[in-house]
Order: sequence, then C-alpha cells, then structure tokens
Amino acid sequence: MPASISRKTIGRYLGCLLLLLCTLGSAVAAGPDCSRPLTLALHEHGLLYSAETNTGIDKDFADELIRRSGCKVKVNVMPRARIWQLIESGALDFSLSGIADAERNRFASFAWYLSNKYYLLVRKDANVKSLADVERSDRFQLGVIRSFRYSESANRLVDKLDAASRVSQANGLAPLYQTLLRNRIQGMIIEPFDTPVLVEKKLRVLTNLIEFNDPAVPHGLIMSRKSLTTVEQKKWRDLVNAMRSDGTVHRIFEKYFNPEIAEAMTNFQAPQ
Amino acid sequence: MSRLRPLFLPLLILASMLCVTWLVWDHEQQNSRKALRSQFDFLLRETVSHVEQRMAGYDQMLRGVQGLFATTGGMDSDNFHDYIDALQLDVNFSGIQAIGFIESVPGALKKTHIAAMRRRVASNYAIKPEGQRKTYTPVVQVEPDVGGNLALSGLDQWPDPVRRSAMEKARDSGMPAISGLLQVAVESEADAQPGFVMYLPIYARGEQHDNVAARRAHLAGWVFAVFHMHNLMASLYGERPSGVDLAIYDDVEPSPEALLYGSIGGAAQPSAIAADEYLVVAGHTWMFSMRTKDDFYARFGRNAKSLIVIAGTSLSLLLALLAWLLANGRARAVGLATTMTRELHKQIEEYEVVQKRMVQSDKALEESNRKLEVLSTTDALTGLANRRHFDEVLALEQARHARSGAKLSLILLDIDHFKAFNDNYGHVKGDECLRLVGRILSECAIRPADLAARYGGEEFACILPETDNSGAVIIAEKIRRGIEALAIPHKASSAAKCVTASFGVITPPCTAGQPADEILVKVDELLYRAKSSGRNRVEFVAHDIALASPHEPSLPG
Repeated sequence: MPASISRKTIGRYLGCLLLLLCTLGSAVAAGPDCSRPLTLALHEHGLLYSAETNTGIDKDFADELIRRSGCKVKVNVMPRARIWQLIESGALDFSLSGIADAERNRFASFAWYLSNKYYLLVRKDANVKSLADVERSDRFQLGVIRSFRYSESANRLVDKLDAASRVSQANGLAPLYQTLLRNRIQGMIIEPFDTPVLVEKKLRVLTNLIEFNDPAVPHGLIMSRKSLTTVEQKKWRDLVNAMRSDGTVHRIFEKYFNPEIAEAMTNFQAPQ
Repeated sequence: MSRLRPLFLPLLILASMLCVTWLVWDHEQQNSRKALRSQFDFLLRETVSHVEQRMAGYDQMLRGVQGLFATTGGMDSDNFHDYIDALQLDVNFSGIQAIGFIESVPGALKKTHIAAMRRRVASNYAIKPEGQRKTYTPVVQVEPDVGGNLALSGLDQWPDPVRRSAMEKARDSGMPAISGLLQVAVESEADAQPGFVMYLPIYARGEQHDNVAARRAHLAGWVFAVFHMHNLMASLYGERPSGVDLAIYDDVEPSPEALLYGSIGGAAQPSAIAADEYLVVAGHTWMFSMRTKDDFYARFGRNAKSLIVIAGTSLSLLLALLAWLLANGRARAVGLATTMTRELHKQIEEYEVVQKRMVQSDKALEESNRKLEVLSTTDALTGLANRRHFDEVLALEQARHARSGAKLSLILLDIDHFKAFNDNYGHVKGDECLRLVGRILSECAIRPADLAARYGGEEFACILPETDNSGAVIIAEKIRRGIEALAIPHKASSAAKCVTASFGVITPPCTAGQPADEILVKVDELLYRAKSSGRNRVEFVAHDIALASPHEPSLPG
C-alpha cells in the first residue's frame, strides 16, 4: 500500500506544517506591531536617568523592553513637560516612570512596574515639622518640576501653595537642589530615585525629610493612546508584566537600591 | 417696637442681598485673581517654553554641523562655509552671532597646527593667548567671518574658565553644553553684550565615545555657536510677554552680575504677581524671573467687580424698597381702613344727630303749625274762637244740621256801652273786661260741640249744636247773669252800675244751601232789639222761626 502510506505521510507533514504555521502566527500576533519605528523619551531625574552618564533605571528598563519587543525604537531625552505634551499629541509613543491622574488617563495608558512613596525635603531652618506647618508658613516656597504629579496629599499641597504663588517651577531636579541649598526655596518633593543626592553632606546636614501619609504610587510605562491602539497597548503591557514576573524589573532595581528598597518598590499589586 | 416691625423684612432683605453681593464680589475677585494668576503662569510658561524650544533648535542645528564632520571625516573650511551658508541663519536666528569650529590641539602639535592654518586660512594665524599649555583649543573657523567674529580666529577658549567649564561638560557628556554669562562683542569689545556660547563635541571618526574616558580620548574638537541673549529673545516666535517685567539670570539667584536679559524694575507692588522658574538649558541652569507691571491688570484683568458692586447694591436697595412698600402698603391699607371706619362712624353719629334734629324740627314745625292753627282760629285776647273760625264752624254745623234735621241754636251778645267803658276805664280795663266776659262764655258753653267765639269788638257769639231754642235761652241767660255777677263797675252804663251785656238767641231752621249770613242778620236783629229794650236782657223768639218773619219775645233784665 505505498500509495496509501505516501498519502498518510503527506497528510502528517501537512498537519505538522499547519501546526507550525499556527504557532508562528500566534507568536507573531503576541508581540507588538513593529511595522514602523517607535519613539521613547527619557527624562533626566535622579537614578531614573542621567544624560551625563547615560545610565539609569529607565535606561536599563527601556533597553530590555526594546530588546524583548524586537522593534526599532528611537530613544530621546527631553524635559518631562514636553514628554507629556508629545504623548498627548501622539508624536511620542512611550516614556517611562509615569504616574496617572484623571487628565493623563484621557490620553495615556500605563503598564505599571514600580511603586514608591513621596517625601518632602525641607530645609531645617524653615522650622517645619509637618505638612500643616508648611501650609501655615507664609515664607515657605516649594520647588517642583513642571508637569510633575505626585501622591494625593502631595498634589494637594502643591496645588494649594501654587494658588498662593508659593511654588517655583523648574524643568529638572538639579536647579531645585541648587535653589534649596541657596534658600531660594525651602522645600521640594522627592522620590527614592533622588535620595542618592542626599548622600551629599552639604544637603544632608541642611535638610529634613517629611513623609507624605499616602500609599505608594504606582509608576509605569507611558503609552500614547493616540499613537497606539488598545490591542498594541495590551501587548506592550504584557511585555512589561513579563519583565516583572520573570524578575527582570527587580534585578534592574537591585542595581540601584539595596534589596529591601528594591523589593518594596517592585513588589506591589498593580492597579488594573 | 411695632413701628420697627415693617422695617424688619426690608432690612433683612437688604442685609441678605448685600451679603449675596459681597459673596458674588468675593467670588469674582477670587476668580479674577485666579484668572490673572493663570494668565501670568501662562506667560511665564510660554516664555520659558519658547526659549527652551529655540535652544532645542540650536541644539539640533549644531548637531547638523556635528553630522557634517561625522560624514566628511574632518575639517574642511569650504564644506563648513557652504554648510553654514545653506542653514540660512538670517534674522529668524538673529541671536546667533557666530558658528564656528574649535580644534583640540595637543601641545606637541601646536606648531604643526599653526603651520597648517597659515597655509590654509591666513598667513598671520596664531593661537591667542600665547603661552605653553598641555592642550590648545583655538577657533579654527568661524562663520560669518566678518566684524567682531574675525577676532575669534585662533582664540583659545580653554583659558577662560567660563568657556572651559562648558567645553568640559560637552566633551564628557557628548551632549551640547552652554557656557555661563559672557560679554560677547559684536563689532568690537566696546559694544559687547550679554551672551553665551553653546558647545557640541566632535569625536574622532570611527572611535567609540560611549563613556567619559573614551570621549576625552577621542575628542577632535567642538562646534560652537555664540549668542547674543537680547537678539535671541527678540527673534523668538510668538508675542513678547506684555504687562510684565522679565529677567533671565545665569544663576539660580537674581543678581546684576548674573543678568542675562531684561530687568525687573522698581519695588514690587503688594498686589504684584511674581514667580521664578528654573530652566536647565544644555546642562546649564537659567533663572526666569517674571513680575507683573501695573498695565498687566488693565490688559488682562476683568472689570466685573465694579459692575457687581453697583448692580448688586442697586438690586439690594430696589428689593428692600419693594419689600418695604409691600410691608408698609399693608400697614398703610389697615391705617386707611381704620381712618375710613372712624370717619364713617363719625358721619353716622353726625347723621344720627341731624336725624334727631330733623325729628325735633318736625316736632317743632308740627307744634308751630298747631300753634299757627290755634292762632288762626283763636282770638288772642280772650282765647275764644275768632270770627273766621266761628263762620267756618257755623257753615259746617248749619249743613250738618240741615242733613240731620236737629236743632241748631245761636247766641249773639254785645257788652253794653262798652265804648263808654273804654273811655272811662281805659283800654287795659277794657281788654280785661273782654277776657272776663270770654271766660264766662267758656264756662257756660261747655259741651264739646259748643263753640264760643269773639265775634268782633265787644260782640261774642255761641254756636250750640243740637240745642233747641229754650235750651239756648237758658244758656244765654246763664251767661248774662254770669257777666252781671262779675260786677265789673261801669258807671257810664245806663243799664246797670256794672258791666252787662245784651243777647239775641235764635234757633233757625237749617236747610241745605242756606247762607249763614241770614241767620246772623236775624240774630243781630234780636240783639239790637235787646239793646233797644233797655239792654242787659235776652231777646229770642218763642219757637223756631222762619228766618223771613222772626217772632220777638223778650226776657226782662
């Protein structure tokens, strides 16, 4: 029965081929669409990214994400305010370590990979021991990075002081440290990424830390709703989740923080 | 307290409305402040953003020059000139004073470099300032090569710490870096203006420069651009911020030494809005300081506060007035009703008084009429009926007796010598005599139907209905004796020493339509006969006579 064997063999081969094609098809469908060059922006902010050294958590995260996606992604460095502007317009596809609010949710989608608390760094000679002292003190000038949002009570403090013309804006952390040292501002809001600066003795002896009594705020990959479809956003979110679940994110953070802090920042329940 | 009650509601409404007006005014003021603050923030953000964008444009432009070197693999003055020419740095980029290239020359290669430059560019080329250094960083080409820019050729940037700091930063980061504040010459040092220099490193082609050590090792030089800050600000797109003072400092603190652009004039008004913003430009921090001027409020302020105050106060007053009118209108209506009721009561009382008076008047009138009637039928002196009433009653009684057939008698009497009595005793005594005689008649003719009358002068008469002649004679005689019994002295009388009277009595047959005058004539005849018969006597006819032929019996006196 050579003819029948031959037909059986051909049928098996065809079945295997179909299975292979289906597997390949689903594998291709699982990855993001790389048919066009994508854009990702970093911003200089403490341990997240330093243009001077071209290193940082976000840089490492971006490299790994790009590698896993297989896409060509052009990485730029720009101020945070401009990043949000471009994300909203759809000219920029991604950025990193973003936090959500009602306004941003309108034009951006997020894939969470870290969570942290916020702290108020105040000059000792400002004589403030609590957040209430800050609101009461007429002389207290707060420095913030334009377009930055923080935890709930931190945002409330910023908005209140801003309404009273007691907020100075900057497009980066560096000038805020300088102005804090020169007593042009009496406080600024910082995150764990910024704490290595406090190692600097000059700043450490001058300042105190006040913790905002808010839960840790999740940060994540920012995706432009205008340039990426919901399906694409899901694919990128899956990539980020995979990086979390296989310990990649944790390992990146362990490069910059001690294990306890890295664990606290990466082991959290991501919001849906 | 009751007087204040009508004012309570209007005052409450006035106070409430003024409170509402104040709330609206306060709300508007806060909104106005917020709007001004937003406008101010927008101006500051826009200004900073314009500068940031422009600096990003210059960054990109220098990266273009960097790309030129990357592609050509080295410095070629013609290529550089053509490239800059192709950029068309016209007035749109008037902030750029010069674009050039700085070559990093190791100290050992200084002479080779100078020789090459003198061959290629100018025979008098030299590195300025002179002196021995480990590395030289002279400007080897500058575009446009005119005016003050010519002085840049060969100028070693490194000895200047301000420039060197930026060059080092650019070299180590591989990113653009700008210098601190510099006084940049336009044509000469004398007309120098605040400015800065932006540097972008160029590394040797084909060499790695992904870390600081590699960058330092493979540095070929820098492309740079010199800027005049004033021209840069003037060439920005968009409108200049108006109504505000703007200053840009090359530091995080304002100081005259760090002033890069503009100024903040005078002392701040208490209401002025001011803010500082810090901008990191190519690794260097600038401070933007902005403060409102007086015309900012005129330009961007809302003018609804005055309108709210005027409209709110007017409306409050109008509503309070309306409430007062409504509340007081009721009180006034009640007052008016009370007054009207009082006046009505008064009028009713007056009407009752008038009515009483009218009743009294009616009674008085009735009494007057009665008196008038009495007067018209009565003799004033004697109180007896007068002649007119006597005639009326006689006519009526004659007609009535004619119908009934009853006897009607008539007595006529006259006081004897009464004229002489008057003459002797005077009229007063005469009147008294008449009154006394009249009283005797009244006493004798006493039946309700009898009528005694003063017939005229000293003559009296009596009508005696339903009385026959004998009855009448008896009454006449009774009267005569009564007069005589009065004993009124009358010395001039021939009949007696006192007043006496003579009588005629008649009982005529009554027939319908018979004139009363005929009866009177007959009775008068009988009286005359009594007079003529000696007076003080009663003359009558013995039976009822026909008026045409009376019988003449007489009673002696």
